[in-house]
Amino acid sequence: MRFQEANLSLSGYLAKRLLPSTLAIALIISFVFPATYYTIASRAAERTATIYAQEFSEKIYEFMITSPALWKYQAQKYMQTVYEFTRYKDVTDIHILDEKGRRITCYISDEGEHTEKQHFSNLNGTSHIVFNNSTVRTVAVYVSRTSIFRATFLIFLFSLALGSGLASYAYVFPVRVVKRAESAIRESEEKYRNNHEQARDIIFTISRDTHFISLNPAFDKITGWSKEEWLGRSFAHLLHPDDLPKAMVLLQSTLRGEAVDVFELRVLKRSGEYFVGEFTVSPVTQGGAVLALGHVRDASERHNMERELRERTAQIEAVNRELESFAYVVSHDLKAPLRAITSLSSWLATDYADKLDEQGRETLGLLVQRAKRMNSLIDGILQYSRVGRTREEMQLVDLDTVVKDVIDLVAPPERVAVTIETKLPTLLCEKNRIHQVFQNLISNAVKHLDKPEGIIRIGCVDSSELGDTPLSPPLSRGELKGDEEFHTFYVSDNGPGIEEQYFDKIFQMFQTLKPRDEVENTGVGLTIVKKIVEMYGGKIWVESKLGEGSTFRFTMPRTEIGVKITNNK
Amino acid sequence: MKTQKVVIIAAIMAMPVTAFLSHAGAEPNKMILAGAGSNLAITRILADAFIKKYPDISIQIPESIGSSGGISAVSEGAITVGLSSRPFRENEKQLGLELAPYARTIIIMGAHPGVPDDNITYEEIIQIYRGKKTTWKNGKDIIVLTRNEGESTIDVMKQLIPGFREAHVESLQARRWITAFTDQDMNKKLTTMPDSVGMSDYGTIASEHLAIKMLKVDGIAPTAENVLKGRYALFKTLYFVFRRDNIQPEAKAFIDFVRSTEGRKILKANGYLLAEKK
Repeated sequence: MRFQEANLSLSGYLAKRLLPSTLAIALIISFVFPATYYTIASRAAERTATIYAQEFSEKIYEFMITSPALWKYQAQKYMQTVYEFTRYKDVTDIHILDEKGRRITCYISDEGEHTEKQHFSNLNGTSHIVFNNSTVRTVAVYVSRTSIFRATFLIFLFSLALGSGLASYAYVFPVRVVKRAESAIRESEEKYRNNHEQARDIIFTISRDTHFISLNPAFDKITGWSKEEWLGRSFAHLLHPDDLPKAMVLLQSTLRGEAVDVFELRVLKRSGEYFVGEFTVSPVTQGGAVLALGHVRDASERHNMERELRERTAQIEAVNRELESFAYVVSHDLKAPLRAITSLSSWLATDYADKLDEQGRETLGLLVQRAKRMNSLIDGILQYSRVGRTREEMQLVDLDTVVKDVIDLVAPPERVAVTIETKLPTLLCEKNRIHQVFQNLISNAVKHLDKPEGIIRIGCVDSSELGDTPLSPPLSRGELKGDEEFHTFYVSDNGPGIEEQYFDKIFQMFQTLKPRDEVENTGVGLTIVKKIVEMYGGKIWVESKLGEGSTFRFTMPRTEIGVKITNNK
Repeated sequence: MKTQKVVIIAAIMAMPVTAFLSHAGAEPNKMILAGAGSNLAITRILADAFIKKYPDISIQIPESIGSSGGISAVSEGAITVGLSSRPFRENEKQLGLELAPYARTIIIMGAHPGVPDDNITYEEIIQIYRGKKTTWKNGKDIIVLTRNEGESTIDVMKQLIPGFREAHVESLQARRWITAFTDQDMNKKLTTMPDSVGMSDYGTIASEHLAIKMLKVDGIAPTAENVLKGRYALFKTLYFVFRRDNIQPEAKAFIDFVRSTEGRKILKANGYLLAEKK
């Protein structure tokens, strides 16, 4: 407030100081210019009039010399002289005065008194005619100074406009500049005060001797203390005793002008508790002394949240780990007795072959078969659990090569034609995982083919290409944003097709659409595919018409996005 | 009071004049007649005749100093007899001087002899001086000559020709025309400037045999007969001016001679009308 008052009086002071000098400028310009002009022009006109008077005197003198007898009475000659003399001169009047200074009128006009009265706008120049050591006549020639008056008035008007213009500029401009500066200062001050007063964080300044110089209202709110209690006192008593040495070191560093990072200290509340304050401190100069200006943010909430988050993450991770190891252990542990069952059954079938009838052999055969299926199911679980548990290196994978490898590995029968319809992209991903995806989809297609001639088509559509093929899952189930940058792959067959009601079910674990006796299947493959695709941020869905075939589509982010995802992880 | 002072001034200042006067005083047989230009021609003729009769008297007649100059000179005692072509003005009536009319001369509108026009109307005079009528019959531009303000001819024309006063004042203010300040100057210009027109007087032209065409005014020729019968209105009277108590005997003798039968004969012979005795 004091600051602001000082500023106000500054502009007032300036205005008061400028006023006389600007008025002086206006006055000087308005009056001195025309006055100077008037003086100069009048003098020039007077000089001209004097020269005229001298010329005229010469004529009369000549006339006097040549006609000495009656020169005084040569009225006509005088008239003629005046007439001719004034013909081309800007002369308003000529007075001829006798030796006593009285005007002689009869020379100008015979008609009684001279009619022209001396106008104040006339200027005169005089000349004396000396004859035989006596001044016999005095000639006064009058010229008009009306034009001088007019010009002076115009110059006055112009100077007045110029002078008042200049003066008001000289007055208004600096005052305005100072006022503008003042309002800028006031604004920034207000902003500062608002920041200071309304801030949620504590803002303080501390002197070199650790005493508080200022505190803002947030201090009261956060600590429960009143700032009046602490102003002028050392901050040492506000801190946790263990943090005090660190605080002193940091304060000294700050006052020396060294950069100090954000740091945390425990601050005592009125209630006796401590809260964790996040401190940002920098040096400021105020009144010649270096102070530490600091902000304190109550970090307890953030601390609590961080702790909670850490705890929860740990919990989730533990559960996940438990689940995965459970699945692994279970699978492993289940496999041992299963392997025993399998071998024992086959032993039984071979060792007691002669003692078993047809029914018994068949039953044993079924037993072995079921045990094997059980084994594959467990393998499936193992595989599935491994997808999340183990990670391999991300690398640029050329999918053309991968898909060709998969086709070789699957080795489809002669009657099935597998074609790669488009150029497949190179993706940054885990090679074995993407291999697994294509292997499952292609082998599924081969496995389920029911037609004499099978057609399997594989391809990729870029999100930027437009075509009839839908690039995203049907709207009813789609959460995928259309504008996301991704590749859409498809694996299409002309197999039996899937009823729409099973479109979701097929991606669930151990779900098979046909009895396992007809088609040997664990029901794990698509579940694993889904898990992998979703792990990369993609989606998978199926489009199908019963009897005509199915198309599995999945999306994978483009390489750049893949990189981003990897980095985030 | 004023007059007295002027006299004193004249005496003190005009040293040569004073010297001359004192000289004139020493020679009582010598006299000076000065004044209006209109009077000069006939006065010279009369003076010549007078001197023939009185050879021991000498008369000097200088160039025109105008009626005003003549009156002032008599009033201040510079001369004893002045010549005036007009009566006293108001300010001159208090000077204690006397006027003795001795002749009349007809005011004429004169033109250069080469001008074909014979007649001019009052209206045309006004139009010429106002600059509205600018050509003669033969299409030549009229060169207009005029006289200064206060001149006796102009005074008469102002009185008798309606509208001339305004036309003259206006033309003088505008300095529109060539201005002559003496009768002699006007006459000289009228004889030498082709296509010119101006005002002059019959007596001077006749006595000096000047080649100036005298125009009829409103169809009336400027003759003595027409003036006497009242058909032609423009004329002026010529006077001697003197101070009764200060007149030289020679001057008195001259005035008496002019008014004698002999003098009247000379006047008549030179185209002047006789002024009736007061």
